[in-house]
Parts: sequence; C-alpha cells; structure tokens
Amino acid sequence: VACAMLKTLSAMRRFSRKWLVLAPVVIALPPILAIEFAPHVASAQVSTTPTTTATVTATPCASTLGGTPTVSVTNQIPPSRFSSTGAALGISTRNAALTPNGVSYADCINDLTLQFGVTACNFVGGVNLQVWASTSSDCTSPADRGLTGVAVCWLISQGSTDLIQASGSLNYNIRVQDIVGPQQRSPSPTTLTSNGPEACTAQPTFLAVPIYINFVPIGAGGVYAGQAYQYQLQTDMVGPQAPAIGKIGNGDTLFIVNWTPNVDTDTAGYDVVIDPVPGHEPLEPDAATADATISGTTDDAATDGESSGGVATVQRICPDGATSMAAITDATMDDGSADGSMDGSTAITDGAVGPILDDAGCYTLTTGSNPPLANSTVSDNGGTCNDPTLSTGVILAGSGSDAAAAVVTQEFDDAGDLLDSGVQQVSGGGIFTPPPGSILNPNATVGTTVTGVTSSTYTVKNLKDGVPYTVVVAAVDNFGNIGPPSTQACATPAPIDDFFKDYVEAGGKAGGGFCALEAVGAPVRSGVAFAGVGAFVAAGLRRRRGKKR
Amino acid sequence: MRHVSLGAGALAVAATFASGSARAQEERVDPLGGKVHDRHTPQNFAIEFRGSPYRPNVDSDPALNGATPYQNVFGKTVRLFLGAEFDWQALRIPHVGSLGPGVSGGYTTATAQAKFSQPQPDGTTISGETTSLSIAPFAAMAVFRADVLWRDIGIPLVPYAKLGISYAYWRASNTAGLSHTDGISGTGYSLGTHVALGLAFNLNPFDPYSAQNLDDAMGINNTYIFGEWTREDYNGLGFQSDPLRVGGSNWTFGLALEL
Repeated sequence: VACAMLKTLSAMRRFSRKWLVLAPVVIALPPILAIEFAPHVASAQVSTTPTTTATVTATPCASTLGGTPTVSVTNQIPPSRFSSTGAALGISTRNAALTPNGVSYADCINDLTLQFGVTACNFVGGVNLQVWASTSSDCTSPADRGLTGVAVCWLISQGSTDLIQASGSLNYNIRVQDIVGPQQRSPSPTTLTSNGPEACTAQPTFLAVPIYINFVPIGAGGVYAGQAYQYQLQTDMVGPQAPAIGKIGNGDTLFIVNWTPNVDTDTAGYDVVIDPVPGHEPLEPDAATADATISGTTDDAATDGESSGGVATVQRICPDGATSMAAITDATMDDGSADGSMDGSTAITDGAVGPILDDAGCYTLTTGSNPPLANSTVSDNGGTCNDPTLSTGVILAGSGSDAAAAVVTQEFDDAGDLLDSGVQQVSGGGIFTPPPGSILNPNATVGTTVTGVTSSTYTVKNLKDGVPYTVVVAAVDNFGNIGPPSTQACATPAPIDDFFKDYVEAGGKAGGGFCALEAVGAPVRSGVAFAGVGAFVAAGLRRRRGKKR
Repeated sequence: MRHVSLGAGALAVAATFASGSARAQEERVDPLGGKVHDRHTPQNFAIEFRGSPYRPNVDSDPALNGATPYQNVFGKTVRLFLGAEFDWQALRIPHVGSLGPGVSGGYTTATAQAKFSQPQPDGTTISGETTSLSIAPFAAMAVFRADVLWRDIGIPLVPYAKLGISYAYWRASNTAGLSHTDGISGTGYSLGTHVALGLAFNLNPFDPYSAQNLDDAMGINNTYIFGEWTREDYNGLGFQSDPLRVGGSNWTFGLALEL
C-alpha cells in the first residue's frame, strides 16, 4: 500500500512538474511567435514626422487660448512600439524581467519605432515643438542644441510648427536607431539625419545608457519658448563582458561547465552555448559494420549508441561494394589529415571523381531526417578547442562607426580550423549572436540558461559519450543582450564507474529501489518482516487501549 | 593504566559534583530569604541530538568476496553522521533507572569524484562527476537508563544501554542523479540490529539555579552530554537476503534532554 501511494504521488508530481514547464510555454508561445516571426524589412524607414491622432493618454488643453506654450503628459505610459513594417508590437517586445520598456540591441537592429504621445498647448505664432535627445541635457539651452556652443543634443524629430489648438495631443514616431545612433558623436548632429544599423553599435561600454527624450518648445531664433517635457528612455545595446570559463568536468553523457561569474550588476544570467547541439551530433561510421562489405542501410543505434536517435541512415561504402556509388549524391568523409577535421560535403555524381577514402578504403554516406545542423561542425586544432561557429557573430562594444571598429576577425588554416591567433579575448562587453538552437535549455522567462549574476556552474546532460563538444559561456544583461562568449572549452563525455557500479560489478546484490518487492532479486521476505513489525506495533497499541478501558 | 587514571579522575569529578548536587536537590535559596525544597516537573521523555564519525561497513558484505568498492571509491575517511533520538521513559524502576521504547533517525552521506571507466586519451582518470552514497538510518529500540547514581547519590553520571532493530534507507547517486547499473537502481533499504552502550554526564550541577528555571519554564528536568558506542549491523535480520551493509561501529557524542 505504501509503495502504491508513493508511486501515485510520484506520478502526480511528474504530471504537475510537466505542466509547470509546459504551461508558460503554451501561454507565451503566441506572442513570441508574433514577435519572432514578424517580417523584417531592414531598408524600410518610418517617417519621423508627427501625426496628430489623439491618444488615450492625452490631456486636454484649457478651453481658452493664451499663456505659455506647454508640453505635458499625464499618466505617462511607455512609448508604443512598431516594427519596421509598421506592425504594432505593444509597449514591449520582451519579458518583464528584461527591462521591457527599454531599448536593447535587438530593438535597435530590428529597426523598431517608438511612438511618444504628448499634449501640446498654447503653441501660437512661430513657436515650434521639436524633439531632441541627449544623454545629459534637457536641451532647453540653445548652446546644448549647438546654436552657441558644442551641441550635446541631437535632433530626432523636426517637430511641428504653428500648433494652434485648444485641446488634443501629438504622437511622435521616432526610430530607435535615430535615438541611439548619435550618442557618442561630438558635437551632436543638430539636423535630422537617418541612422542605419551601425547606430546599434554606438554604445561604448556594456553599461546601460539613459537617453533623455526632450519635447522642447522652440521660438524664433532657436530660443526656448515655453514649458518642455522630458522622458527618460533606458537603453542598453551591449551585453556584459565575457565570463572566464574554467576547466570542464567530463562525465557519463554529460559534462560540467564552470566559470568565474561576472561582478558587474549588468549581468542577469548566463547562456551556455554548445556545438554540436545535443541530438544533432555528427553521425559516425558504425564500428559494428567496419568491414570490407556494404553494411546495409541503417545504423544499428540500438546496439552501439553511435547514431543520433536512430533516425538517420548511415552507409559505410567500401571497395567491394563500389557498384552502389552510382547512387551517391552526398558524402562526408575525413581526408586522413592530421587535424582530425572532416572535409565537408562533396557532391558526387556517377562517373565523376570519387570521394576521398579513409585508411580502409571506405567512406560513409549519411542520409535521413535528423542530420547534423548545418553549422554544427567541430574541429580539432592540435588539442586546442576552436569552433568557428561559436566565435562568429561577435561584435565588441564600441565598434560602431563612431568608435574604433573591433569586430572579431578570425583566421583559418587549410583544414578549416580556427587558428589559435584568431581567438580574441574580449573584456569590454559586446554582442554575441549564438547559432540558432545552440543555447542550452533557455529559461522560459528570461531566455538564459541560468539566471543570476553569481551563477557559476551548469551541467550539460543528454550527450553522447565519445563525441567532442565545444562550449562557451556568455553573460546576458538585464535587457536580454548576450555579451561576447568566453574562450572555448572542449568536452568529451565518457563512461564512468560510480560507487554503485563498482559495488554491483564486485558482486553486490543490494538495490532495486525503495519498493524492492518489485525489483530484481526482490527480497520478498523483507516485506514479510515489515508486515510482522507493523502487526506487532498494532497489537501493542490495541492491548494498551484495552488496558485503559 | 591510562584507563585506570581516567576512571579515577571521572570518579573524583563525579564525587565533587555529588556533594554539591545532592545539596542542591535538597534545598535552594529563595530570594526572599526562605528555603524551598526542589520541585521537579514530571519526567517521561528523553531527546538526544547526536553526531558521530561514520564509516559504513559496506565492504563487509560476503557477496563482495573481499572486494572493497566502498573504500576504493570513498577512501578510508570517515563522514559526519547527524541524528536525533526520542525516548519514552515508560517504566520507572525505583532506585535503578528508567526503561522504555525509543526511536532514532539520522543522515550521512559520502561523496567522491567518480573515475572514468577507461583512462582518457590525455591520461585523465578522474571524471568531473561526483558519486555519492547517502544513508538515512532509523532505529526502534528499548532504552534503559540507570540514573540511580544521579537520583539517589547525586553523582551526575548515567550509564545506559539500547537494543533494537534498525532500518536504513540508502541511495547511491552521481551527477546525473540516481545510479543505475545493469538495470538495477542504486537505492534501497537495509534491516539490521541496533546496539548502543553509553555514559551521560549531567550538566545540572554546573548551574542548579538555571537548571531549575529550565525545568520550571520548559519542563526540562536534566541536561546531559553523552558519549556512546553504537553498533548497527545491517545483516537483513534473516528476512532480507542482500542488504547493503551501511552500518558499523561508531562513537557517538551529543546532547540529551530529559523532560
């Protein structure tokens, strides 16, 4: 009975745990899909001229005209967001834990437009309402706008002229790239200029930059004429600096990654990025069929565990089966070079030059529904782990047009392996775009593998023994920006002998579970013993109650 | 010779406390100048908090034929065992002591780095995985405490003995979780015997006033520190054919409260 209760509880726990995991995914999937798969047109430019559509946040002006031109907002809500194609995205495009109303690298590179709503009253005559951005000023001073000094404000909307109205409001659509692009320029541009994707790399460090969006009444001659309104926009387009990865601890179908956690408060978590992605390991020749004959068409994954899920088909083609080469359209093989790398796919047609053979004169042919990812190649470089797929897509902080370019460049040898000199240590933050699907177990809420700046270890499971994996760790900030990856580390899981295995192999026979009545070598008599003890205790209690009566 | 000296010393200390504590039991000074006789709340239970160096005797399993898998993996280092015990002093034998049932439970774990099945190409033999054996022993026993020395003479020493059966839940695991080998999961339980002999040293004579206050406020009659030789022999009790021998002989130390 106890065992049945335990199993029922265990089943209920597994069920509830499963739904605890699935429920947020099911709930979050539709908006995520809407965001992730929204069409992106990089060249599209959204007009920065204001519209005059009233919004729910508008504050009606006084019914009588006159007085100081005033820009105001009540019940200020974050600006609405629109994609580069004009699709409304709400006021945020990411989880509430990732500064949803701020601007991240993804917001910038996806060319989002922010819509600010303000109410402008008493604008008569030649008073103009312009929108200026600055990291330090409210832009009311003509000097800050470059009229009498070095500009520290840059114009992000030409504004409106002759706003004669008794009530109503204005919506200003301003591109993120126009807001963040000139932040490092000195003097700041005082004429409206459209910025491109290079604006997204203008931030010099991984520290977030607040940018003030100033709605300024401007009179004749550029003088400040009225009451301005300021909105503070948090921006961060640079991920945290790379953590220092430590020694990998290999285990049985797993390995343990350790790293030195970052000390800055900008880090919200870490992504552990791996190649090849578990479940997409490159298929290997089947050792069980390493003979000189054609071995058939299917890898015997069930017996040697070499295939990736048994979905793919592996053929080992050897000389005595050369007649089948007419059907070959794709082959991947090793050229026997000392670097241990595979040479990539080689198109083969009947009668054409044949594939390069291995030492046995054979080669393998891999087909199926679960091939390795296109970019999941692992190269070995004389014992140093260097995987190009985990080093590309890195942009270092301050690499925009307004700062020294520092995009990671790499050099490869003739085998396709990354040269040691091509690995660059990065320390000032940046942006890393991991290969799709290579981030391990991203958290459903914040998208990181592990959360918390102090996290320093992660165990990667469900791997294949004997397969070399390359892993990097990248810090993720409070805006969801992924910083540059750590240096690469190699891992090759291998079988282990733990205590229980040693015990069983030495002849020990204990084990089989708490409910050992059902286990191998079940000690049935122990159940009888428990029943006896229970009966004894029950009898004692009953006798004691009887005495009391 | 050394044992004789230690025994003589203990008796001397006990005799020293005996006079004072016997006096303390008779009377105590009242702040208002009067003298009142000691009052004790009823004493029916004992609670022990225990700790001991622990080294399960797994390798004594006859099925291992002399192999020492536990020592090979975890070495000879002893681990810390922590536990607690609750006794019901159901029967009071005048001028002898108390007798009654008791139950105990505790926990210990041994952890080490697991070795690779085969040395790695770079010569590495120690993997990054840990392997652990966690043990949670429980015991049901009869407890006899000969507190006549303390109650009748005032010598604050209480020898005691325990005898019962024990049950230990154990779990072998590695970094990936519960160990499995040849389709057998690395968890189970073992049945055995529980024997203990110990000596408790009453702390009340050090501060009789506080001891009385503790009794008045919380019903704690006596506070002891104790040392105990404990032996748990998980042989299956004839009911279990292949128990994991997670018991052993250990010296246990702790704090006991009678209430």
